Amino acid sequence: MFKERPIVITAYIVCTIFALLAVMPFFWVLMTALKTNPEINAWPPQLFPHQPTLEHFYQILGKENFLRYIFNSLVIALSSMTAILFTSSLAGFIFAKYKFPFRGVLFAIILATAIIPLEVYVIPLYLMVFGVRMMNSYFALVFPFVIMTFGVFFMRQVIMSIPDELLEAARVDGANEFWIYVRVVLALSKSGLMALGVFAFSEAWANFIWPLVVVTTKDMYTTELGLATYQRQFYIEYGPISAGAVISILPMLIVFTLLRRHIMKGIATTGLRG
Amino acid sequence: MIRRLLAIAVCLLALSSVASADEKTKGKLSIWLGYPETLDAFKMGQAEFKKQYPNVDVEILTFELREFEAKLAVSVPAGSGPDILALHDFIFPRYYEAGALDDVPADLAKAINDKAIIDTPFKDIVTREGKPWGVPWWSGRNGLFYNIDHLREAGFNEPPKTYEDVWKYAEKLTQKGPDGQLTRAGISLRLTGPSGGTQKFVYFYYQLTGEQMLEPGSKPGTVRVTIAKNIDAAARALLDHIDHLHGAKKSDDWALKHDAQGFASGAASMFMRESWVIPYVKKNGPNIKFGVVPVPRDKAWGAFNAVEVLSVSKDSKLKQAAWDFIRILQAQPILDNVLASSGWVPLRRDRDYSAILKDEPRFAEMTTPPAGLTLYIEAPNTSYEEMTTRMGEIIQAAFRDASLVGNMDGAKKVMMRVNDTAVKILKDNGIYSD
Amino acid sequence: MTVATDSVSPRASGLSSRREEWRASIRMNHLLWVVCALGPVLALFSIIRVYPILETIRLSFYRYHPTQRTKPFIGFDNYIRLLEDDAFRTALINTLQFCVLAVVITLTLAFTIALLLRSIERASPIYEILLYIPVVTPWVPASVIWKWIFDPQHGILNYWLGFLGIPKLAWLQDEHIILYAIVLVSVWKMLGYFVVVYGVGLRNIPDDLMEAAELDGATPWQRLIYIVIPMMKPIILFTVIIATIIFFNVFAPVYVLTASAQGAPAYDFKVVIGEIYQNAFVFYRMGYAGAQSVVLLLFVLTLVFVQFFFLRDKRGV
Repeated sequence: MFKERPIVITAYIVCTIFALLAVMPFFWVLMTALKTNPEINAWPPQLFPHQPTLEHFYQILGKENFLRYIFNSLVIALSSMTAILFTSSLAGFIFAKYKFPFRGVLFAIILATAIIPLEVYVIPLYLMVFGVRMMNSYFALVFPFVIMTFGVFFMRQVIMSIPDELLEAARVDGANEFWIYVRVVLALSKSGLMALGVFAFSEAWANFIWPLVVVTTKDMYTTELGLATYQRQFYIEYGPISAGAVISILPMLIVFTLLRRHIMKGIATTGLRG
Repeated sequence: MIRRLLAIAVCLLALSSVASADEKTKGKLSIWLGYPETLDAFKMGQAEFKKQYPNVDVEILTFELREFEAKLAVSVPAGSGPDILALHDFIFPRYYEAGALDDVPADLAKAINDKAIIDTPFKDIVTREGKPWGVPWWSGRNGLFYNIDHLREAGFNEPPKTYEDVWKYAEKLTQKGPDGQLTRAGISLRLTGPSGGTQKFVYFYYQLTGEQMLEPGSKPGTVRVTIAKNIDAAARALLDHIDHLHGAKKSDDWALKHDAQGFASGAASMFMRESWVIPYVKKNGPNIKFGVVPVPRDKAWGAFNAVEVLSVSKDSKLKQAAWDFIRILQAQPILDNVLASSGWVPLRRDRDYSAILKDEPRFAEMTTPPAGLTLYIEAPNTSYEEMTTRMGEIIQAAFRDASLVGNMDGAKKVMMRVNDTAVKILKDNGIYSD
Repeated sequence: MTVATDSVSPRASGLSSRREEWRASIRMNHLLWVVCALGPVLALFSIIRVYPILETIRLSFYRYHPTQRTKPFIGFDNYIRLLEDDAFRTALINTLQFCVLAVVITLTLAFTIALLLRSIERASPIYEILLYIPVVTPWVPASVIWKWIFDPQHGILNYWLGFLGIPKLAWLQDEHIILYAIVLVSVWKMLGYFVVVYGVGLRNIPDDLMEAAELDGATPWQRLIYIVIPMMKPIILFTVIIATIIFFNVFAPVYVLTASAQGAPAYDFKVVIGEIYQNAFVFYRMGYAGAQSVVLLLFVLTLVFVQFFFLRDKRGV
């Protein structure tokens, strides 16, 4: 865009600095997770562990039941992602390709709820779960996350770009709407679904305030909850916490590395966070 | 692909609901602890329990204390709480009043009522209408921990005995670095965590006034606020803290490590806390030579006391098994473990702890109170968390206010605000007493 | 439902009437389909979004403790109490300060970096990916990482600042500095996302427009002000709104960074959601917390509408 020499040089310098700043903390937490306790507390701090150890990983996975937390997070994130993909694509399809009374109003209401963050209405959600005595269950943890407003908006955008002729052709061939939904729409919006799936998965994985509120026993903790509450005892041990942080980050990093093209494309479509 | 994912998700959800339903029909005894240090003792009990009840699984979950209280408050009324309730003295009444406790079996009740086995004050805590509703298990008293080496270097051959001494010692024991920042706290005060902060502030307040800021009121469940009556002493206690947090007499700093962690790493020379510190420092600060004495006195002499009570939930499906577990926990080896590894003092007087006391004489300090020392317990009430949090917030915010140094009037104003806040919350909940 | 009939040539009447019937029956089927497909989803929305939002507002007029028997209606009492609540006022001020700082710093930095990246387009994917890694990291581990970096005695940040001659700062313990610590973590985390979003927008600006301006003698600065920024206005509006919503509702990093273990204290930096959480789920004053939630809602809506009003493309977004 701006090809002038000084700007290019500035660009390299500035962007490199920020890119390094973005990545440095991850490197640091990995090093911390591998150091022995005396090395962690040494001053001046050493960059690399001289005697790398896996003891913190053993502690947090073994003694602290972190594996169970990871399992819980996986169940919740996968369930939520599946539900969101299903509801968003279905609703997005309807809003994109069908005319019906009140379509505009309904869509506007749905969109309006997107501005309102979950934290505002977390109390009634809690009371609903409390009322049906399903506290501290997978049901409770997934319950508010089976739909996503942005998902509907996003899939609608994606599906709108599918040519109507394709749908018509299918109809002429005698297909019913559900068949069209599954075979035509879903097939053609794979890329969008992937981007949305990643987003939904990461939102469900990273969720904090909702599990904090509905979970009462440690065996139902998610990784986020387990990590956050691990430190709230009499003292902080940074070795195990760093190991826990590394473990918590890994799934998202893997997903990101594998699917980053889809994520970036998803953002390009609507500016949606991926 | 969607279909496959859907199928997986449905299966997972189904599995999980089956799993949780399953747990209610299998024999599972659940125990929740707010004090993770006693976990080892419970695990010993679990091993013993397994012999009597091979088909019952025991699940022991530990929580950080305030979380424990919060989760308990919601789960027990909903029927999803634990079978064994390990309650501390000031929340025990709440569950008794909610009708959440099962009757204590006759043999245990007899032991509780026997003066030779359980001291009367502890029996009184769990007794309502003539019968006990829980088994008092351990109590924790606070004391003053001091670093022997630090004191000797500063020229002190014995630990402080009076309230005034504490501050004098603290000033001398503090060390600063070349940049003027504190490297060692003369005394580690409770500066953050408002709810506990209120409690730790009372360690000082009590010695000046002879009572806590919140005392039981005239009717059970009500609370009396004593600050207004003792406003001068209250302000003095506050001022002593503030004066030692800013300026020339500064003896503690927010940037240092505090409490047991600070003490065990040598970052603090003295601090006041309960007996669990003994095993903690032995484990985490093996090089620290430390001693413990009763809290220093002033016109009054009182030590904070926490009592743990074991009860069984009325909603439990395994009441018999639960009470048997509690019986197991009364055995000598388990109580020995409680004392030795967690530092809390078991309450049964018909047991012999001499072996442990010989091994670790500092525990003797915690097991037998000297004559003249009053043991006080926090006033049980239903708005404990909110009240102590709001009061502690004001107190700890005042600690940070350097403009209050030497300002008696300002300190009085702050303490009156603390008083009024407590009164307001109590009145709001209908448990205020004059 | 779209019907492609325009290009169809007229047919024999019998055939066309059958066609009409066929289309009419499809329309009926479609209506059925729409209801069956959209119905459940709308039902879910009502249960999980619409009802709770309305219920929060309703609860704010009651005194509500989940396990107590009476839950009396108390009108505006909760709101009156709010006015005297020091903790909540502090939380509001903190949250506003934090939000403004975080939004301004994050977006300005992100825009600048996105702009600079366009000058080195070949290398930009790598930079964008690296900057995006904090974005995909959940808030809790990110905060845990920074908590250690911020440690006053052993943290690496103070170590490096030492080289610049700055004394050790109590990042999370000092009541004045902690605001900046939390802003730092938040900016670090969200920067990459906005860099990518701005990148998308900047790439959409046609090259010939920029070249024409260059030929006309416009300086880079002029090109920026008169072409780039106006064309980016809708995206800027979008990012400002998103950033505001995200940062006003900050909770997880505050919770983690200020969680005081008794051995290692941190300053209790209050934010709005923290107060709502504490009042609702620690003190169980759910009606009161409901009122606080309504206030939160009003603030968020107001901020969004104000930004929309001032930043919208007057020609139509």
